[in-house]
Amino acid sequence: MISEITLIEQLKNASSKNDAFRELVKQYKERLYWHIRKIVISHDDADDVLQNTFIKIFKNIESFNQESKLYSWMYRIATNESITFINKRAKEKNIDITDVYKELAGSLESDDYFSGDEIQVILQKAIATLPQKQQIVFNMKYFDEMKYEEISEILETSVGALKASYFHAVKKIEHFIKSKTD
Amino acid sequence: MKEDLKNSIDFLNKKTGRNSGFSVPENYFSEVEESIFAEVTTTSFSKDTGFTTPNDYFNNLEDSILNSISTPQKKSKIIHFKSSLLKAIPFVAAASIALFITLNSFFFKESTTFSLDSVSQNDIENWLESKTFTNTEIANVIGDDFLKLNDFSFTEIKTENLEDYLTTMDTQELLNEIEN
Repeated sequence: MISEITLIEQLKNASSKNDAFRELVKQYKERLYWHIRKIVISHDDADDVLQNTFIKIFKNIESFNQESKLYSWMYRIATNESITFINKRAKEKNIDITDVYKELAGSLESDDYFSGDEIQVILQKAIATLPQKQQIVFNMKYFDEMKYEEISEILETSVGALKASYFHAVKKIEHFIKSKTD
Repeated sequence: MKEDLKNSIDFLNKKTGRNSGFSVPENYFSEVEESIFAEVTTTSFSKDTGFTTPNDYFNNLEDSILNSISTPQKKSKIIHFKSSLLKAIPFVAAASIALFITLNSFFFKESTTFSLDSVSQNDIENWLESKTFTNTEIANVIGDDFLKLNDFSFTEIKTENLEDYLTTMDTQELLNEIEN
């Protein structure tokens, strides 16, 4: 596997950019996809956002200043694209973002690309009740098992704030699941 | 707080298996790379088609359209099939008679000379009733000049129409037309 420094050099070089970009997509497509998917819920929407994310990465790679890791930068772009997508959906439907998430979670039972059972549906509905940023923190910590320092670099939020956000998220979800299953 | 958090996470793990429940279509990750490259490639295409329009084109367009709507349109000439067909039938019928006479003289008569007088009206009628003409046979007899008539350039005369005409027309009249 090519080192990050070499990959960045190749991405910034016009003659090697395309090949380096292919390598980048190959390495990071799944991780970015699942991160996006947990935010936008639908596979088709996640596919669109993933494509937009990589287009943005391709167009802006020359301006990547290497102050953070390449992956953190890409992850941040993916997060922002996902949030933009959800916000746009809310505006189009003239509803609150929370209602968008409730709608999306409510459609999971009939979603072809949701293979979870009843408890996973309840879990997603529980996550949908959280504020947007708390949802993202929960997904990154609980499902992706990322370190707080990595999440902090991506979301540009302090580790302390992230820990508090995660704690509250977990408690709310536990309470929601207990109320639906007891 | 740490212990409390740990207990809550243990509860979630036990209940959900740490599984989000999301899945993807088969082969999605092997196929998504190419669609991403295609999208990235098209972003480098120019949105400018290069097409231009004459000066003031859109300013004048509305008037131009309204003018073409209000101008009475010329009626195009309609060529009626039935009248074309009726015009053709005497010629084709005459050609059929000529064909009959030709065949008659070569295959059925011993005498080397022949005339219309030697062909009886009954012979002609009997032969017409028994024969089915193809358009090729008629065309071979009547020759290329006939085909120059614009009315018939693209018309194929059906055999049943020809036969109808022949059965209703007076045979003597046909013979007179050939002689003339």
